[in-house]
Amino acid sequence: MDADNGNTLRALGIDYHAHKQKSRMIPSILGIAGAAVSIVFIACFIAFYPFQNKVVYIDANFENRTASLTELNSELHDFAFEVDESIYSIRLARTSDSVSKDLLYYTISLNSYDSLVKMELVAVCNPKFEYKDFEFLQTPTSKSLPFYSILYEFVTSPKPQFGLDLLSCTAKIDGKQDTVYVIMYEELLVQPEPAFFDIIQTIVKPVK
Amino acid sequence: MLHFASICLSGLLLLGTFTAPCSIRTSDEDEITYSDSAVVYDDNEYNLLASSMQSFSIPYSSRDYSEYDLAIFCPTYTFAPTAGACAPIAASNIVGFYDRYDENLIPNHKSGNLIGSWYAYAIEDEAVESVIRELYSLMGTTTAGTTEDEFLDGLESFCESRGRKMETYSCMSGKSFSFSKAQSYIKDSNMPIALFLSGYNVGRRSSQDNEDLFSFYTSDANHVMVGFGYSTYIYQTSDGTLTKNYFNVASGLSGKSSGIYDISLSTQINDALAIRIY
Repeated sequence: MDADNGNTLRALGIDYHAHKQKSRMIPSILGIAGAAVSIVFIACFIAFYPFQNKVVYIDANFENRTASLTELNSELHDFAFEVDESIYSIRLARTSDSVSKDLLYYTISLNSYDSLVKMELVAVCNPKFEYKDFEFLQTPTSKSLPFYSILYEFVTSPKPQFGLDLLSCTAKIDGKQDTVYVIMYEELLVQPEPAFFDIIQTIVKPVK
Repeated sequence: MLHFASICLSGLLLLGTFTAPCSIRTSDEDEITYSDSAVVYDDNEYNLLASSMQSFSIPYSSRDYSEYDLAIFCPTYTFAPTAGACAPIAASNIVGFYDRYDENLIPNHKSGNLIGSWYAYAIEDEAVESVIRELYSLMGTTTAGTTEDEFLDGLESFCESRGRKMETYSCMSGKSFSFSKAQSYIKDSNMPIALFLSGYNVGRRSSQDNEDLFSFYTSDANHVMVGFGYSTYIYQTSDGTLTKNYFNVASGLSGKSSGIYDISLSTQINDALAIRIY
């Protein structure tokens, strides 16, 4: 069409220069539109990316019921809990969302019969659920145990009233699909070295 | 033996108590419903999450502290028959405390172990859950919660059903909370404190190199929890002297069943009662 300098268009009564100008504008409009779409897409991606795999569950809709170790282990993928009930008394609660009926997590409360150790663990086996009520006070220490790594934080408090020290610990064990949080661990330090790592490995085992 | 221990305890409690039981039935606080709902509703009935985690530190040049606990491990029951059950759970923690002295308060439950000179309470079991259900019913608790009057009437009925009596002692001076009164009731009279709160917190403390680190779960909800001990920290900071008072509490909340409660952090103490069951 350029070859005849617009003679054909003129013959058809069409303004060549106006048409040429419009032809040049189309790529510009497409470019601007494309850029705008890209910006919107990137903004949405940035805004929603952290939540794309998470569902926001409302605390008020959480409901609890008692559960068993067998039930807990049937829901876990990476870990299995083993509790020697001659050493510990155990309580297990299953928390679900009353609206969606989704399983959220299990809470495992353990108390040694000698009363030296008390702990509360949370096992999250729903990858869509984000357990928010856990954080370390300081940068946690990482320790490799034979079957998994653990992030932990120890706080030792002297208890002069009772004539001993109390060890408090929070810890986190990440599996591929499951996460185990040690949300409360208290040990009366009747010996110099805490028994935490030995105890946690006897209770939280890798899936065979 | 148990009867003898019970008589001894009663005697000690009588000796250690300096004020008469208070009347707690006529106050403005009766209107408040304690439900521990972590969700509040705005004018358009949209629910808003009213809880959060707060972390901060207190750097200091020197620090002094004092603390006292009724046991090395206190009762920390959390079983909730429905939402809004914080009041019967708090009451069960108080009953659990006195079950050490009268095992009939929670039948078929071993309250804990006396080891040397200190006592460690056991965790909750089915017998405790049964008592929480009983208190829930006696208090007339619903998912909307429980008023202070209902809490006290329900707990009193529970005690009567076990052939026991209950007395309460106010830790308030007028409408203001008195930490020193609460300290005295805990340390001198061996009594736990029921805390009736609008807004509350439960947290942990850690220390490193002249700095105390804190992490608190805070909520705007009305809540009842139980103080089984206290601590006072006096910091010398670059801004002068800073005094912080805490209760060591059984929060009644699964996942954070025990911790420290900062009486000045996002909270209002509507009422605080030392409770004796005898």
